[in-house]
Amino acid sequence: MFNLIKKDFRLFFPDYGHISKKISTALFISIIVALFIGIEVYVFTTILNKIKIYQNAATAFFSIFLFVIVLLVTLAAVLNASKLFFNEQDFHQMMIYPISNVKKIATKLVFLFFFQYFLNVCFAFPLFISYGMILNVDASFYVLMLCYPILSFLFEAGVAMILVYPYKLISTFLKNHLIVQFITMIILIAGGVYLYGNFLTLFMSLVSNNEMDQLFTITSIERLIKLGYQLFPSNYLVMIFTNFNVGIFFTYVAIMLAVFLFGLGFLSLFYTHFNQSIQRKQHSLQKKMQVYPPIFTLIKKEFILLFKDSSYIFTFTGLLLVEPFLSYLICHAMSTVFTHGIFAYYIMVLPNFIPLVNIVFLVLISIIINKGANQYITMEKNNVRLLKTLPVKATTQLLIKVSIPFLLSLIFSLGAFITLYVTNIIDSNSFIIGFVVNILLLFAVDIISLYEELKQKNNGSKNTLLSTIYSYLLILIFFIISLVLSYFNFDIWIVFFISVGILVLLTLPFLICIRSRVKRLFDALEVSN
Amino acid sequence: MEKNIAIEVQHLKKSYGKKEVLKDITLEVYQGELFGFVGVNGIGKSTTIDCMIGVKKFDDGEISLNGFDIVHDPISAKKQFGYVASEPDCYEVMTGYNYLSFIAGVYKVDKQYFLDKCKYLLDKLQLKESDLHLPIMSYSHGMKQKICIIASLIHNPKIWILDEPTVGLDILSVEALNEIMKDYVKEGNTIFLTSHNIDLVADICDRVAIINKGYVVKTKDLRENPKSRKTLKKEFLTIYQDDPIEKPNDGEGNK
Repeated sequence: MFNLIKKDFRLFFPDYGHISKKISTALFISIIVALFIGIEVYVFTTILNKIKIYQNAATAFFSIFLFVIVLLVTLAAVLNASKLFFNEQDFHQMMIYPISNVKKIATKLVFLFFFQYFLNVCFAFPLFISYGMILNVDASFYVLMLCYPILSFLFEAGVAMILVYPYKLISTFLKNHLIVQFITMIILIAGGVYLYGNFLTLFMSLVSNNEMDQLFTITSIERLIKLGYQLFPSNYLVMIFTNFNVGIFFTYVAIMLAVFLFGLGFLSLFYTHFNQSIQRKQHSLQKKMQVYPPIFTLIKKEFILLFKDSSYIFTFTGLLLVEPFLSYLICHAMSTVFTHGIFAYYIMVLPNFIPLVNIVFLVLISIIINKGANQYITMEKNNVRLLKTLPVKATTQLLIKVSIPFLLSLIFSLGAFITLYVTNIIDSNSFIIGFVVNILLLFAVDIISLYEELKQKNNGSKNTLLSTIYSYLLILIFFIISLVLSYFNFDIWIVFFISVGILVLLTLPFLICIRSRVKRLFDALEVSN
Repeated sequence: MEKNIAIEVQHLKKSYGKKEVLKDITLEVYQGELFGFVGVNGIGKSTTIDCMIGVKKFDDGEISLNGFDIVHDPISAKKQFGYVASEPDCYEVMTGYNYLSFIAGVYKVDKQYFLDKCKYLLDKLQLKESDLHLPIMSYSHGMKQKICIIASLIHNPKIWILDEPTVGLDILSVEALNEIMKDYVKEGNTIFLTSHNIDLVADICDRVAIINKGYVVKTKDLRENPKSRKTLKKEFLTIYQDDPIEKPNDGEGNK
C-alpha cells in the first residue's frame, strides 16, 4: 500500500526536469498560495469585524465564506481525482502488476485524502483561526478544527467521485474538438473576468472603509444570515464546529457517508469501464495518434513550448493571468492620485488626462508582459536545426511563432480592459482607443523583437534599442500628442484619429521594411555543431 | 544501366570566418544506396550534412536532393529527407506521442501510414507504446535518440541522412538500427550516413567516401570486392596518417 501511495505521489509530482526549475516552480506556487491566503484572510477578517455586532451574522458569514472554500477545494478534488483515477500513463504502468482494482482505488483515495487535508490546512484553517480569534472562542474550537478536513473530505471526495468521470469525458471531448475548446475558453475567460471585476469592486470597497458601511445595511445583513444558514454543507459544518450538537453531527455524517458511498460506487463502475476501454485501445493506436494540418501542428507546438516550459511561468504565462488584477490596481491607484490635491487642478485643464494615463499604463503593462515571450528563437533551445529542416516556409513559421504570444497577450489585455470597464475605471472611449493602440504597439514590438533576436543570433551582438523605443517611447508620443490636442478641446475621436494616425505612420513603413530582412536573417541563421 | 542520383553535391565550399572547412566537396549518391561518409572528428562531416539539409549557408557550390536544389527550392528539397543528428534533436517538453504527431502533421503524413510506421518502428527499436505518453525530457539518452530516429522516418522520406546516429545507443539498438537501414534501402531509398566508426560503415555501406582537409579524398564501392570491406579501415588510417592531400577529387571520387 505504501509503495502504491509513493507511486501515486510520483505520478502527481513527476521527478524530471532540472532541480532549479523544480525549486522555481515550487516557489512560484507557494507565492501564489500565500497571496491567495493573504487576500482571503484580509477580506474575511475585515468583513467579520464589521458584522460581528449583529446577532448570528458572524456564524452565517463564516458559513458563506466556508462554502466558497468548500466549492474550490471540491473543484480541486475533481481535478486531482481525474489525474489519479483516469490516468492512462498510470494504467500502462500498473497493468503488469497483480493488483486488484479495489486496492488501487483504496490507495488513490488515501492519497486523495492527504492531498485534500493539505488543501484544507492551507485554505480552510486560516478562516477557522481568524474566526476563533475575532470571536474569542475557547481552545476546544481549535482542537476540533483539526477534524474539519476529515468531515469535509466526505463531501468533497463524494462529489468529486460523482463528477470526475463526466469531467473526464468533457475534457476529452474538448481536447478532440479544438474549436469548441477555444469557444469554451473564451466563455470561461469572459465569465472569469466578470467575476474578477465584481470581486475587485468588493475588495476595493473593503480597502476604502467608507464604502463598506453602504455595503452592509440591515437588509443585506438579514439576507446574509438567511443565506448562510441555507448553504449546504457549510451550514452543517459551521454548526458542528461553533455549536457542537450530537444530532447535527450524526445527521451530517449520515448524509455525507451516503454521498461518499454513492460516489464510490459511481467511481468504481467507471474506473473499471475506463480500464477496459484502455485495454481495448491497447492494440490500436488509431484513436490516439492524431495528425493535424501543418499550420495547426505548428500552432500547437508553440502553445506547448509556452505552457510546458516552466521558465515562461515567471516571465509570461504567469504574468498574463495576473494582468487584469495588476492593471486594475495600478489604474485605480493612478485615478486616486490624479483626482486629489494639486493634480485635480491640472485635470480640469486637461480633461482627457486620466483616461490617457490609464491607456498608457494598460498598454505598458501589456507590452511589458508580452516582452517575456519575445524570445522566439531562444525558446526553441537546441531545436533551431529541427526548425530549419521542416518543410514549411520560414515566413509561415515565424508568423506563427510571433502570433501566438501576440494573441495571448491581446486576449489577456482585453481581459484587463474589460475588468477596468466593468469596474468603471475606464469609459467606452478609453476602452476602444486604448485597445486599438495596444494592438498596434504589441504587433510592432513583437515583429521588431523578432528582428532584433534574429540579428543577435546571426551577429552575436545584442541590441534592443529599437524594441525599447517602440515599447516605451511610442506610447509616450501618443500620450503627449493626445494631451496637447485635448488641451485645445479637440473632440476625443479627433484626438484619437490623429494620434493613432501618427503611430501608424511611425510603425507601418518600418514593419514593411524589416519584413523581408527578417526572412533573410532566418535563412542566414546558422546552427552550431 | 544509368543510375539515378539521389544526392548531388557539386564543388561545395564552406568557411567559418577565415577557416575553410569544406574546400571543394563533390559527391554523388545514387538511389537505393547506403552511402557512408567518413572522416575523423571535426573534419567537416557534420558541416557537409548541415549544408545538405539547409541549416547552414555555404559559400559556393550546389546541392540537390532528388533533383531539388536546397537553396532554390528548399521546401521541396526538405520534403525529400529525414534527418537524425548525433545528439537527440527534439522538443523535450513534448511527450513522445506529441512529438511524433507534430512531425507527422508538419509533413502532412497520412494517418494510417503514420500509425503503421509508428508500430513498425516502435517494435524494431523496442520502445513501448506507453513510453510515448511520457515527456521526452524523462527519457534516457538512448530513448531520445530512438524517438528522433522514428520521427525522421515517419513521413516516408526517400533519403535518410544520419549524422553519427549510433552515439548513445546500446548494442541491441545499434543492431536494430542496422536492420532498419537495410530494410530502408531495400525499398529503393537512399541513406547518407556519417560516422567515425569505420567498422560500422565497412559492415553495412554500399559505397564510402572519405573526407580530409575539405576534400573528398577517396570514394570506394564496397560491393565490387568483398575484401574491400576488410581493408577500408587500413586505407582510412593511411589517409590520415600520411595526411597527404590538398587537392580536389577527379569527379570519380579518387584523388
